[in-house]
Amino acid sequence: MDLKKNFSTFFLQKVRNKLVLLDQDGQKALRLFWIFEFILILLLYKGINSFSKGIRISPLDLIHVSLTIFIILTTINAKLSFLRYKKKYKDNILEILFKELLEDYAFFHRLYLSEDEYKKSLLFQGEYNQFSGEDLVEGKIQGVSFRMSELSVIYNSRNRSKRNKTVIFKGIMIVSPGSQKFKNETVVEPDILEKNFGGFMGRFLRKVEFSKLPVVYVESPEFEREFKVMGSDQVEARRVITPRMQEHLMELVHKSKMRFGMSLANNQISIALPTKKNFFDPPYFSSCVETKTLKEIIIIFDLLVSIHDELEKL
Amino acid sequence: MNVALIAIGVGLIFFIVTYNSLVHKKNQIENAEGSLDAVLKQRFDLIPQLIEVAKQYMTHEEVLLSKIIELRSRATKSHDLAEKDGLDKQMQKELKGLMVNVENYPQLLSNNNFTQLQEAMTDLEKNISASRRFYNTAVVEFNTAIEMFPGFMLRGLMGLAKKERFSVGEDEKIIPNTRELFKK
Repeated sequence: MDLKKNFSTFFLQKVRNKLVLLDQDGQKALRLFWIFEFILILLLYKGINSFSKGIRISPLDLIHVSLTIFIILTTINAKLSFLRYKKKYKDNILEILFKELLEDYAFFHRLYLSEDEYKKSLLFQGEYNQFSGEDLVEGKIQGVSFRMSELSVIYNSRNRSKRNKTVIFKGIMIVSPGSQKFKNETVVEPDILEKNFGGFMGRFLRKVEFSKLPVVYVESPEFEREFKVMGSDQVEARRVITPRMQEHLMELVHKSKMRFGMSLANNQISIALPTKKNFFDPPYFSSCVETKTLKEIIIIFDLLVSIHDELEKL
Repeated sequence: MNVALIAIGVGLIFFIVTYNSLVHKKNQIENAEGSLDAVLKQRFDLIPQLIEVAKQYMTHEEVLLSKIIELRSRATKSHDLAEKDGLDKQMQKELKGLMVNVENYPQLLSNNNFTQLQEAMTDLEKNISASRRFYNTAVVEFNTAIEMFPGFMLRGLMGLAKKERFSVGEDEKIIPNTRELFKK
């Protein structure tokens, strides 16, 4: 089934009912969790307040402590129910989607792409000291082999007494074997400078900012506003980012409404999509009976196949 | 006195930065010329092999084959990149005609050597296209720099003149995005 054309049929026939059942559990777990969290905070606040005035044990205090322990246990239980709800969503709903879209796939909730794959992409140059992720999916889609997961790459530092946390990358990264045709590195990143400061100033600032690879200027002004191209070989980079590829990537940006970066380096095609939320988790604050999350996953796979097909033509 | 010294210092820094930037852009053009020249040479070196294989089967295409050899010979003797590029484009046109005629010689089509040479030529064509685009981008950057402030002030001093771009093929053109045009 072509999911892009027949998504509604797929959703109604195979997914919706399961989502409705799951939603009941999920909403219940969520409500309990938030209620008990709130009560716990109040009790803890009251307890700390009383304790600070001096230790006095009275029957009321004993009831207070018992209630606090009870609420803690119930909150833990609610949290566990919520985690079970998340797992059921991934096992029952996402598995159906992957089964429909992918060939020979495997889905591991706790695994993620390796640091080696991340570094090989050359998409991010920031130093980091925390590397984690989840939800590794590997398989094939329309003949294209890939590995994909959520990643969280962070640099934690300490400045006197203050802790700083710099997020280098948080989102989805997809890697796929690259073509042997291309021996050098080409990186296409979303261009923040030209987008925020305009054409002239953006290009000026781009000349003075430090780049890991030499900047490659291409023909399309629209593409230049959206992306920054860097390459270790000016000719090969232009061979990859042809006018046709520039148009194609712009179409993908408009269609997907997602910002993404891609690279061809170290025999690997890498695509990175920054996201603010945990991509494969069900919605936390609303009903999970919705199509947005599933459609976004289909768009991401479509992006991969589209870029791969375009690169094959080069 | 101090103000004058500061002004001279700033002016000197300004001059050095602009001078270096123009030199960099000029070198970038030379770099692009070198890349294009190298790829064109690779193609010229491949032509005799292709013609040799084609000759064995294409007994009625001697005029076309001779024309290609002649263009190739002129191109390899030339020292001017623009002239080489122009001759290469003419040669490409003749080669396209040859490839159309190759359809009439099925034995040639199934010849492994010929197929491999054809693939190599296609690959080189893409590299030539990318090299031309690199050259044109470098020329645009350079021309813009010597026409705008402050580059135009040093133009005469450094003996710099505008350069011409190479013409592009259909596949190298950007089709204007009508959505963006409407937005403007």
